[in-house]
Amino acid sequence: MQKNIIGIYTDESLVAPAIEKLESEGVKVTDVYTPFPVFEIIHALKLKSRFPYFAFGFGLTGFLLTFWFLYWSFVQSYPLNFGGKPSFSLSFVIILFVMVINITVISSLIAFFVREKKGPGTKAKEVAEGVNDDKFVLLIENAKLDEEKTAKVSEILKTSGAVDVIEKEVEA
Amino acid sequence: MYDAKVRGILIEGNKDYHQISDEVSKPVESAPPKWWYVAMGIATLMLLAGVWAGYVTISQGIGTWGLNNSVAWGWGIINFVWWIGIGHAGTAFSIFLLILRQKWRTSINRAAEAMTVFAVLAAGLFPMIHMGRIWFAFYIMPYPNTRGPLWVNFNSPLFWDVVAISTYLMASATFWYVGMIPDFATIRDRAKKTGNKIREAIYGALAFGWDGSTKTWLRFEHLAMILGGLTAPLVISVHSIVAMDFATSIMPGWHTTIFPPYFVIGAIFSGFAMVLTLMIIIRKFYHFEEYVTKGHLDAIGRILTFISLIMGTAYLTEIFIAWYSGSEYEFFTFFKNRITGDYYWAFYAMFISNAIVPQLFWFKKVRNNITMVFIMSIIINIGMWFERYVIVVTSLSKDYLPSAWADYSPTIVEISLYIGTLGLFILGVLAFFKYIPMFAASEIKGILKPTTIKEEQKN
Repeated sequence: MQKNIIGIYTDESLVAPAIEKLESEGVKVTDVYTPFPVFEIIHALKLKSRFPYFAFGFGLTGFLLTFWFLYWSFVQSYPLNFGGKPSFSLSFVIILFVMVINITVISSLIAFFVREKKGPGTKAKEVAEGVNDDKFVLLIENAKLDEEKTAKVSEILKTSGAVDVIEKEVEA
Repeated sequence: MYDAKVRGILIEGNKDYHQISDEVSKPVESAPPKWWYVAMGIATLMLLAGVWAGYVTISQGIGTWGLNNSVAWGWGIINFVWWIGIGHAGTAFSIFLLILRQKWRTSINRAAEAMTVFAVLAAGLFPMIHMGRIWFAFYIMPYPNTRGPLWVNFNSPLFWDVVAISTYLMASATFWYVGMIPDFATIRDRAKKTGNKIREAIYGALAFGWDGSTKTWLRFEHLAMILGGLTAPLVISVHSIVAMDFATSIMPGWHTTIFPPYFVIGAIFSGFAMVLTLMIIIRKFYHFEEYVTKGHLDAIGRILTFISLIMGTAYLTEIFIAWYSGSEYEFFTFFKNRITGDYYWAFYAMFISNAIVPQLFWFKKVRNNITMVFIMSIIINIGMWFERYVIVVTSLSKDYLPSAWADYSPTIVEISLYIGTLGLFILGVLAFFKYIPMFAASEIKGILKPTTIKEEQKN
């Protein structure tokens, strides 16, 4: 029998200790749904993101693409003569600078929405009411727990300050 | 660590999270007040005047403007630079203060970013229309073509401008929208609760399926920092490039190395003034005094005093160098055609409004008097317009060759175009008041507890 156990909090400072308590009991907390980012919770869930490295990669790609394009169009394919000035000049740096930012912004944005599988028309996952308002919702998804362990988890959630604990059975 | 006892409370009224959702969502969920419709009507009329002027310009040509061979840039460029300047504040606010982790930004960033987007849109119209043959505007895009192939000049500041401004518009609009997603989700959930199907569908689509997961929040925070960190240097580069449109030419009064930093500072100055104007309107008409506190306005006032000092220094440096360089053309432009001469009134309007009037912000009494602050923010906006007028018209009207000297006054078409962009901007801002939560509710909730003094701590 698999279960979803949900603990609802109204104070964000109570959630991180509850996660640590549950993890020490060997129960994995799937996610916490909050109205704003809470760093203690991110820390307690031991979440890490490689996003900044990807962004650096996008920037590097943007730099190479833009440089290649400028060099090809302005030096190789059709070098125009502006008062005898060299075609390949230091002033490329301005277009390079702006285009690196341009390409990194667009790629990071696409990467975010692709990774999160979000977009216009995506249906939001409804865990509990008030997540985007004032509730902090701790979710243990598809937990394979026996009666005794379930009671223990409920107990931990309640003593840690959850205002409500909901158990839902899910079909395996 | 923010010490509320020392630095003041950011959000007054001892609010809880639900109350913030309620209050921030209220203008979106209720019918707009009567003045909103009146303002909408006026703004639409202004926009129509601009549409007429745009039609005249495009169908008959740039000859309908007051330009001539000497003064080939007039109100079109003045207004373009003015709008771009205003469009710098949103990003300056949001991003510089985000990177510096200034918590008081949360009450102001949303409105400042909205303002940025509409101001940049208004600015973008001018170079397009100024081309004369707007239907050839796509020639500016560098793509392999059958016209030669004819590439744009990648070493021209005018082309840098195109790239920088379109990137800036894209980046600031993106940053603005991404920040709104969690608040759209709040409105979607509230609409669902009250059974408002249409609002739920619209804001549901806008919210991109936001569910508040901590995993998403982590990436969201990273995305905000990446966009912020990238857009901050962009702010500097955009206006430096606008300055290079002038500085790379050999016009007396333009050909100076001070121009890029001077333009960037001027832009942030006018933008902050416009933010101040807008925030005072929001707090007054929507009763958001507890979100935009006197402390917030005080902080902006202090920044304006500082920037005003830099502006004054820049003006004086320019004048000093014009004399010290020994260049007779530079001397003539600054001493015979700005400080004295036909356009002296524009010079003093600029100098007094930008360098002298804001010095009143040194006094706490002035910073705390909202009416005074409002009037001063308007004066700065007007002063910054005159700065661009001085730069463009005085240099062009009397250059090296006295036989080519010419006067310039705008025609009704140019004036209507300007009014039209003002209408566009006001329409955008009014639509923002009604359809978008004016404060970043999720960010305000995040800073609420660390910046409030709890009851038991008060004594």
